[in-house]
Amino acid sequence: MRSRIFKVLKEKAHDNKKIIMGFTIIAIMVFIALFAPLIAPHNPESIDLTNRVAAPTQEYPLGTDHLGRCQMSMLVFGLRISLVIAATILFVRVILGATLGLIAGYFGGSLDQLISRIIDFELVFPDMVLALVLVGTLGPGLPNLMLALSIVGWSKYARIIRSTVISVKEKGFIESARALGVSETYIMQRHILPNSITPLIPVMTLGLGGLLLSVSGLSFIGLGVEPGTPELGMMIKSGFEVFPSHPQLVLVPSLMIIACVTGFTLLGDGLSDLFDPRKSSSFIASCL
Amino acid sequence: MWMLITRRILAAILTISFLSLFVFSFLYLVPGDPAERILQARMNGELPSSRETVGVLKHDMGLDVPSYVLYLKWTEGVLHGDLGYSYITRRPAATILYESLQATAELVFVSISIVVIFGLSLGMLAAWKEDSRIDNLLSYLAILGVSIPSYVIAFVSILVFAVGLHILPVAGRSGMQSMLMPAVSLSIGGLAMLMRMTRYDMLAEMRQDYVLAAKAKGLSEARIFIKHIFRNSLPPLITYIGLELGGLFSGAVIIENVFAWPGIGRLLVDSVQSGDVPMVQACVLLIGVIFICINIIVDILYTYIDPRIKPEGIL
Amino acid sequence: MNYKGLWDGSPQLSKIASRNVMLVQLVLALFLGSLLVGVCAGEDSVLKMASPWEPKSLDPVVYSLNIEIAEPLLSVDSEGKLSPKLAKSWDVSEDGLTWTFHLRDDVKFHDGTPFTADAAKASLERTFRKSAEYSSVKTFPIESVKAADKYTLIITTSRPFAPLAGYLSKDATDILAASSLNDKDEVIKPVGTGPFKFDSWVPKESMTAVRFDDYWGTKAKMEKVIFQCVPEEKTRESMLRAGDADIIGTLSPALSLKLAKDPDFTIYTQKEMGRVRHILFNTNKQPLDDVRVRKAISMAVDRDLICKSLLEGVDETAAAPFSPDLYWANKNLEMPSFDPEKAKALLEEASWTDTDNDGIREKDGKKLEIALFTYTSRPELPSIAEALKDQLGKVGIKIKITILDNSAVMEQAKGGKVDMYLVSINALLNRDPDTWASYFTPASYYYDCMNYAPEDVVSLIQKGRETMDTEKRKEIYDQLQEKILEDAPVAYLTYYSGISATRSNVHGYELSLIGEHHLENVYKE
Repeated sequence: MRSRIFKVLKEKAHDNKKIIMGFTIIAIMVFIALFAPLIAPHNPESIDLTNRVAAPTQEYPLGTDHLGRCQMSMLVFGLRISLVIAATILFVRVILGATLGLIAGYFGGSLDQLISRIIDFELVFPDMVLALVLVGTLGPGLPNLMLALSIVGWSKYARIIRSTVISVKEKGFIESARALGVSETYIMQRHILPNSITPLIPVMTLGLGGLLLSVSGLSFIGLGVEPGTPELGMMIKSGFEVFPSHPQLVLVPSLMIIACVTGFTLLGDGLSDLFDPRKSSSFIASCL
Repeated sequence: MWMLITRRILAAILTISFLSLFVFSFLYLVPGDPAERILQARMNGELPSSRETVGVLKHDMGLDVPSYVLYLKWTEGVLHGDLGYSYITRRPAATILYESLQATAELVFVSISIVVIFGLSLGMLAAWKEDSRIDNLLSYLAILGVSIPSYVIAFVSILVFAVGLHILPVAGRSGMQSMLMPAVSLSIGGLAMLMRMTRYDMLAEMRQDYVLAAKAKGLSEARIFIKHIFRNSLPPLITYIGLELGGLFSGAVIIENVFAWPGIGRLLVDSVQSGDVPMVQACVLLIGVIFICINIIVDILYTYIDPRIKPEGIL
Repeated sequence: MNYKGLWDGSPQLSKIASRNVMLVQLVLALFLGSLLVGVCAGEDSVLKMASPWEPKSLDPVVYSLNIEIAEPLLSVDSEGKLSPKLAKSWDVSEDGLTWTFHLRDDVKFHDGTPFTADAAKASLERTFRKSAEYSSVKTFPIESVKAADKYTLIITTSRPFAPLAGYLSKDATDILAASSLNDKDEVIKPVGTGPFKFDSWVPKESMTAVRFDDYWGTKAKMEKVIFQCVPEEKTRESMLRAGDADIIGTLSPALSLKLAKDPDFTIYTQKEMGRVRHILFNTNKQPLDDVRVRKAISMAVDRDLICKSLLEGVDETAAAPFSPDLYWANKNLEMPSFDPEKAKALLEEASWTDTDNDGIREKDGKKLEIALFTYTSRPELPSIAEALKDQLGKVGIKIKITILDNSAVMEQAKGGKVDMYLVSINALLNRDPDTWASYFTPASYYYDCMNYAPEDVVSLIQKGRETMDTEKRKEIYDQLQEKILEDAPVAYLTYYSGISATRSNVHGYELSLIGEHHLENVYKE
């Protein structure tokens, strides 16, 4: 028995290590993104056709691209753009998923049946396929990309909210509140939502990592942001064009993506262990 | 059970018709004339210089009618088992789909095999040797595997194995060798994920009381590990494997472009970009059907593995 | 690992387990197989070519076959003028209504049947009946196609129509033997007259052709040609480096520069006939309704810098639609040169001045802001747009770039929202200067972007269509080029060159003026 307790404790410490590592990485990345204008040595959009594909110098720490733009600045702003895109899409997905999950779980019955079927379908249907149809038709560009990725991938949030709502509903106090004549919206706001947030956080954290990969992937095949926009996937793609003579143009943005996703994965992992170690795997299952 | 499956299939048909309507209306609602986009794609980005010609071409292709008429015609065709013709190549959509599906199915099959075999066994190894050096190493590798974009793996492996070492073909679909790099690049992410999950689930299961009881009864550790722990932690893993198939399809869109693999991912990218509506519709329809089938199969598998669970959607 | 052990005691599951064991075996076999088989050495008689263009159909009417399997009646020479191919010569009657083509008498189809006027008639009639795609013949005034004798083909039209001949040099009019078709009028196997004979086609992947030993011209040196479709440029480059491809096509200037430094590869560049990147100006909306502003923009653009930097020195600067080495170019035109000072003076003259010193000119309180549209299907255009924004900014013009799909731009143009449209258009798409000229008619697809079709221009264009004598036509189009340069409804920027690369042991490759890969003289060392 003693050894078991010891083991759990050891596990907790291990999780904390994950949280700390993940949090540190994310904090650094967010810091870079927030203070991009201060960190970047140049305006990422200003082009200089006389100083193209230059090797790294003191002025241009990573050299310049084919339009003579400072790679370092593009990278810093690219990180910012990638993070903002991912966060925005995540936000929309969570809102969309939470709304549907809440309605399904709270009202139950045939409405629940209908919504659950939609959720199931969205869950198994490959996100990229629908996103591709949308962004491919609308053409590449930031708003289109965000729209396309926002309307897919919400089902896991809907599912989590729905099951939390059902489990909260089964507890007696909702019934009694209802009996006391408390309004439905009030019940949702005060009792159901707060209980649903906790399981959402790790999933959202992991989801951010996955989104970074999807966004950069779409950009990579030319269906993401417009060419020329500083975005990490796009930069890796143009980096490969001059690989291996300028390896830093592939390595640095790749490492940036890997670091971000690793950070989010560690953090999400740690958080999900902390909140509910037993359920961790089903959380992970619904992410990325 | 059969009742349930019938109900699921009916629901699926409804879902797919909504999906097709959505995709279709979307293709026609975007700004710009869809017919012009099709013509342009057919002419490699060029358009005839005169409007009259554009008009005649539209008429020839039957595109000069309202889009709802096109949709009705298409639906009628599908009900008769006819998916229509590609606007671009003028070949039957069903034929093109069949060719591409074969290529993608091969790729996804090999990838999911890699994911399942290596993911499960490495995960079991990590759980078995919990907190050992190998467990730590594997968990770092897993996090790395989840985080590396698949296209980076793809290009790096091309540069190493094809350009550098000359042991694998760069691209194309010519036998097993050409499958190796695309399948591995495609499966790394899912493999790492499944491995992590297997480890977690088995560790969680190992802390159950029955494990102690079984130990007390004197059953061998290996037997407990495999017969009870692994089996009990299977259901969520199967769910994940079902979902991972969707993930592999998504990933295939990118990987197929890199490796010039003539699969459905590339077909979809091409068709969407050229506004080849019948092709896009056919792809979406087929992928929808495939994944609804997978969904139902996963449910059935569930009841076999754990009869206590009632099949009621995923999880 | 013993998978079977996991499942014992459960009969249904052992079935799944045995399948699992098979999976293990399969994957092991995969890995081992790949190690054992190793590399198979490329044969010297097989030529492998990789290009982003997919062989989309076996029917040349639908899509180019990419390999020279079938040939049309005419071809183009190094000046872009029409030249003989399957037709030795051709002439047009006095009234311009009857075209007579004198065919070669030494040509055989791949199935052994002789090439005759009857075969050509059947093939062309099918093209005219089917071909809506490339430049709809339905708008052509074709009356009849007749075989006068075994080697004389006569086409009659209802009105004089000079652009017809150019069309007969295009892929869509490739002559196919009757055995190419099934009873539904569909091509099941292209049987042509070219140096290569169709062998097999794997849709989306590749097309294979073998040497045709009875070819009427110089016989091909390679026994077999495999044309592979590889969309990603980096993958094509890797294939060339790894030796998986002997020739790769459609490269970016940046890649060509990189490969040129490597002695293992040879780079081929060839200006594509008629393709020119240019800006269309909306001539009925302020500020571009003023010809001085349009000319100022043309002068403020440093074409040389764009070509040398962005385009890596591969492409040449353009000031007119046809490059000087083409027959149709008006060589007497005085081209606008890069002169930012003169551009500024012109803008001042048009009373656009920077009164508030913010770097942007104003007139009557309105800023000199211009909406520039372009599209991405030609990947260099957005970069050129960025360069234009930079260069025009230096003379006080603010550019706002919007990137849309071509047909979406047209929609914007109908609403008058497009001031400038940066395009890459082939001005000789139908191998006839009429392709270019017809942009300046009200019937033009691009009319809404320019709103430019003055009467004298339109009547010149009509005259060009009705004149049969090549030299007289040349005079008409010279005049037209002069007029367009003067009115400046467009500003030409650069020409476009196709780029291919071969491994250095590959010789005799030729990239043609119309972007075709000529593989018949290729041999490997």
